[in-house]
Amino acid sequence: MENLPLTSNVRKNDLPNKPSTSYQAVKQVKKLTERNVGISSDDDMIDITTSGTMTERTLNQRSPINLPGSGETEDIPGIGQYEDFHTIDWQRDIARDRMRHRYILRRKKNSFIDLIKSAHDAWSGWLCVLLVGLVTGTVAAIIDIGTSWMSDLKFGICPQAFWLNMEQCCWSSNETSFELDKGNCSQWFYWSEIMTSSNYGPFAYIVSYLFYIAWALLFAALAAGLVRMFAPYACGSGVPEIKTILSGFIIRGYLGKWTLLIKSVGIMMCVSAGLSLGKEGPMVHIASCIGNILSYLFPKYGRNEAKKREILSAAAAAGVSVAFGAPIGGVLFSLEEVSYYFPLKTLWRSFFCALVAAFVLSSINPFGNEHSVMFYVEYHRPWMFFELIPFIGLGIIGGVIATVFIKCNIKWCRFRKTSILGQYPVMEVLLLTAVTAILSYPNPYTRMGTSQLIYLLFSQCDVSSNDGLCDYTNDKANVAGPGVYTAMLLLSMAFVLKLVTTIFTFGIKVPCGLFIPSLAMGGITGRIVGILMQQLAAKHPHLWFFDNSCGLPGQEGCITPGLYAMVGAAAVLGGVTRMTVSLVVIMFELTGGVRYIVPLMAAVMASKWVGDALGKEGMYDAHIQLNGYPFLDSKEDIVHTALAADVMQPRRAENLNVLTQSSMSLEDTEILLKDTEHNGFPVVVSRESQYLVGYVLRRDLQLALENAKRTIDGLLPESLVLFTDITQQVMPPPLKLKKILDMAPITITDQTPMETVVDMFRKLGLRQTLVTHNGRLLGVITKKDILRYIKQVDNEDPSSVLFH
Amino acid sequence: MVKIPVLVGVLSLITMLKAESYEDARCKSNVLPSNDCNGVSLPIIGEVNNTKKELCHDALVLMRVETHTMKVVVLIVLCVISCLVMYMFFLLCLEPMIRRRKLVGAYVEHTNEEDEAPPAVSLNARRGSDPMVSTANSSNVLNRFGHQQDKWKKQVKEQRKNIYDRHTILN
Repeated sequence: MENLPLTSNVRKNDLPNKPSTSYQAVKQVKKLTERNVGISSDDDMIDITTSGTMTERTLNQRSPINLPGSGETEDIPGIGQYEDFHTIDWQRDIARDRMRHRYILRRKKNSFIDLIKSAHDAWSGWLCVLLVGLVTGTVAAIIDIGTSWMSDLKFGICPQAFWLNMEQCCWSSNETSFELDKGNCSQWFYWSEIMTSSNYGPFAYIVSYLFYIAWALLFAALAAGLVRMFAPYACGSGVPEIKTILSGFIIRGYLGKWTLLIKSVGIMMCVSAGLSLGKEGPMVHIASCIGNILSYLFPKYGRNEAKKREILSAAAAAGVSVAFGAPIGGVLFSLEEVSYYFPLKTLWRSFFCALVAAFVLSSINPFGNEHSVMFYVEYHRPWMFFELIPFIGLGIIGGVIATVFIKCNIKWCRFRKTSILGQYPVMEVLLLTAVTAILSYPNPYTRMGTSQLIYLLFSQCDVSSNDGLCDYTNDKANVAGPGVYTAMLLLSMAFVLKLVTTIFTFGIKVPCGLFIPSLAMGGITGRIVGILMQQLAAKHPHLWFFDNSCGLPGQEGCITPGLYAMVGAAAVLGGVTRMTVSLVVIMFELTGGVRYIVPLMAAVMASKWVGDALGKEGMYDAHIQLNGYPFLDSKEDIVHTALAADVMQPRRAENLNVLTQSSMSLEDTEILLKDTEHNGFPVVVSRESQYLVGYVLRRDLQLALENAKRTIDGLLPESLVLFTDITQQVMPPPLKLKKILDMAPITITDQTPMETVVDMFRKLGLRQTLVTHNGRLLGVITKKDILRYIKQVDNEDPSSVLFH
Repeated sequence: MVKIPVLVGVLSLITMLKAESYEDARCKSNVLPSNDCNGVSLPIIGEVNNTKKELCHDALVLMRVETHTMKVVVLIVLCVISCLVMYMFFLLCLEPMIRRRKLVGAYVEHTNEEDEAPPAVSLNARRGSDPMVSTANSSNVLNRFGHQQDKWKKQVKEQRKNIYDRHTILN
């Protein structure tokens, strides 16, 4: 009987957002439900409420005591959710899902409706990732189109159809030349043309310059203002946080609908503002937001944090898939870089999700080039064996550049975090934008968008290209003219500018990713090296390492500088993010050819080695460290001789705060809750024996106590709190809390080596483990203790671990 | 081969009607199959025949771009941005004014609350005690919307504190 009151809904207005069934509130619950089906707000995620869909509600109500002593705890509102900035317990959530699944399977035979329900439950994962893929593809297309339009707005406008960007605007006017030369296009009007009716001369230049800066400042101010006003969580790249969240951490509101909206709008404006940042990293965050929001349509995922992370992994894959038009690269990125728990089922779903997203994006065709990325290029020439040497050289250079970049950026971010600079986020953005715009405009390679620059660097010279980079003196295009040398000089300056501005940019309080700037830096380096190699081959074709197969008449085209640019880009990006497999796959999906896998692999590997040798971690891990997120890196080894007994809390067994299974009163329990701040309590048989019974979370206990106080009559402070099955009558009536007790906590003995413990935490995704000695409880090791221990081993400050 | 004059005709028509023909340009050119590129006489710099074919093919690819999508998307983006900006200015400028006016009508003591409690909470409390709002049962939807908005504001305030003041995350 006592169990039933927990499920019956009596009015509980003092706790936030408990669903209640007094007449008025029934309507409210219903409306909440409708709203959830409609937009599935992230309020649910922020306010730990239980407004799931009706099916789940009825499901819970029909099974109040069906599953004794197991994970069936759904009927107390809020149980199974977590507090903000806490770590989730994978084992517990997976057990909850298993119970749910078993329950649905058992009911399957009862009626036809139940059969349909179970079918819906079975395919809901696929359905969810399908929806995520569709929405992600659409959002990515909107962002792509909006970005290219707004970027061109800095230069001018298409007065007859203002929604067209420069390329599209010019298309219909230059049917005579079929050449997208921006200089000769009658439809497109530069601001200087509109203002001074001339496109040439110093005055026009100054007007264009001023307009460029003004638009950049406007976009940046809007982005920074919107981020500050509506969704501060939308700032930054998001990948370190997604990584932490996928490893089992809760940041409420980080994947909400406002974050999604502001990040999408903000990234368009930031890229258009000409800041040295890219939209690819934020795309992962945007896709994860979509995954989170859509997972609320399916209670199986929306209400179970561990299950939700399966959808988020798939969404992250879709994010990279649309960012680079590389579905397989996206799946591998999710597997290699962001995901923590990645079973085969998630792999297939990620694959499907990435596929759907890429399909939607390419069917919308946002760039008009039938590819989902701006810098898609195709090479046909084979590479020579000796070229491996420059490729590995590029890898080494890339590793060095990446290390310099990471070190400086982290230093600057730390400075921002601790100094007065952090007080002026909007001013910082504006100042940086102004400086970037002023310095970028004079150099044509920095004036254009970074994606365009990358495309230019990657592409080969042919008859139609009229850039200085393709100013070759002979018709075979291998002897450089003066234009190429000027272009190289300009590119070197662009490189320095990109490096410096990106160091200061990554981490400002607007959405910003680092894929594109890294690719640009690497691309510039690679292109320069490529041109140098080409000139070497053209001038001295008889050098021994060319092996008479390059540079001689008939073999002029043996060296493609564009390919070098691509390898260099991969090397720098590989050094910055320490991705390997996924990066190579992304790059070859970009070029549409498998022929260049070996050069890419060589460069990426060299870059990773150099990077690992010079600096310990990649950019994302460095930012996780900087912020002190509770992320247990599965890449590092720990070689130490400590035992579980040295790390567990408390150090002295008598300070251990425990609950007893049948001898504590309600008052005792509440005093314990008030006096301690632990997030969970072990339950023992008695204080004398300390034999372990189970583990109960603080949050669950609090919710259950408050729920009981409101629903059970005659509950006195001296009523016993029971975690056992006691049938005999006791007065006053006891409070039975067995259903919130976890009867299968993971335990270890005090002699377990710490390596094993850390491994268990990583592989099982534990939140805490109980330490026993001779079967008696000694202490607890939480994830926080593990993180502190690792910091201590690394000679870092253990107090920088902030979160639970 | 017959289609070349058609292409030329279409293109010249487009240039004549260019003011309203951006979409038409793409639609009409779609009729052309891309294998007709061989015969198209294009005044371009390249002499090599297959380069010409390549360029022509590029142009035909471009023709297929649906500028209609672009129009819709850009308009949506503009709408969203202007809505957000207006809402931002509303929250920044108008709302403090409205609140101040309300406060003048309400108790004087309420103004002191803001020192200790976070403003969003006190706003919430004030709204609850405000006779204007609590009696207006008819505006139930509006009320709940206001409640939602307050809750959201509180969350954003919390996020702002985490990022801009405490610098605990997202540095």
